[in-house]
Amino acid sequence: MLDSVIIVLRETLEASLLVSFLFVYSNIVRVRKLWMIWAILIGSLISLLLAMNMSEISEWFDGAGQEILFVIVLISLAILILISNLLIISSTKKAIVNRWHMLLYSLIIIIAMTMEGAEVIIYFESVFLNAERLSSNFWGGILGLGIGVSVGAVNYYFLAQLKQLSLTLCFVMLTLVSAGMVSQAISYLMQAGLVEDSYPVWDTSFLISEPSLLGQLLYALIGYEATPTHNQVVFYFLFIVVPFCYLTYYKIKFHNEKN
Amino acid sequence: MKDKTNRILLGALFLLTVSVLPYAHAERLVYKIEIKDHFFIPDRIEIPAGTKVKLVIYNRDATSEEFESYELNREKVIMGGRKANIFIGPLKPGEYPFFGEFNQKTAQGVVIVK
Repeated sequence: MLDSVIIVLRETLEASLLVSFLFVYSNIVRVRKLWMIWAILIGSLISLLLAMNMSEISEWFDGAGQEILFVIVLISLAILILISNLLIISSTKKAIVNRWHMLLYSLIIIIAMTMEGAEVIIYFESVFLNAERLSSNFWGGILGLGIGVSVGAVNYYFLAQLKQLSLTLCFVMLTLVSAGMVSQAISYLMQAGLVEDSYPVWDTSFLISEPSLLGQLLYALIGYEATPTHNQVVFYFLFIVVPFCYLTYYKIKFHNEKN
Repeated sequence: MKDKTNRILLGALFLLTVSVLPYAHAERLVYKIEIKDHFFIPDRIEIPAGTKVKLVIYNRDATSEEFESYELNREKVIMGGRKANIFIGPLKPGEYPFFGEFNQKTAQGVVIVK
């Protein structure tokens, strides 16, 4: 039962934390959250379609269909989150209702829900086909789903209390989330044999091992990998450096304009 | 002028050939694994160090399985009755465990790199 809790929790946690960060952003730019609830529903529906067709999709591109699809999803998510981060910096000083933000956040949620949702559905499908341990695995999965959603909700209400600090925290966390996605996308490209794998740049498994609870949490949050390759490290840091450079540039510009 | 263009083209062609050659070679090592009754058969495969190899995993069960390995940094859902290709390596000598995430009690295996 514990396995099923963790499997579902892992996928749910990634989506629910992402949604909670975007809810905080939507408070800042005053986007109505109703749109995002719709995005969650639409994403869940598309995930059902994806899960039903995963068998076929896996066969595309000489068996690399799954990886290519995930790479497209992860890279688009990382870029959309990067854009959200760049936009939020310049919009905080003038809180206006912005349709672009609404569209952007909804799109991120739809894509994220589609991917994570499909993995959860595929897991539940395999549970239903396995009559022996159906009951315990099913309830374990539901429990995982519940914990995942709750953690997201608690995270949102916690951040909402922090007011100004919540923006900074969200900015930092979303930056790390997007960097983690890029690193994961590169990992899929190597798995499909489309990008050359290399020896890991470092090995931090003696500090935090990936299967450990902390390792899993860090993986879900910031894409932690104990043995990353050269390409993964380069792109991970690129997706961190760009938003922070823009933040610094904007702060200097704003400071100069004020004087 | 034309001579220079030809030389550049020839150089580009040479570079392309050189860069593509290792890939053509890399596809040669293929290892087959089956998933049956939520077990990996074989559950132990030996591969040479420093070489890129292709694992072809056939899922003979009706249920889907997720091939996963923290040490190899790989994860892939393999739907029931389907197969999946997973490239691994180059790797340093050592043991790299893998497992089926949906049936962790039984689906366990290891890649031995020598």
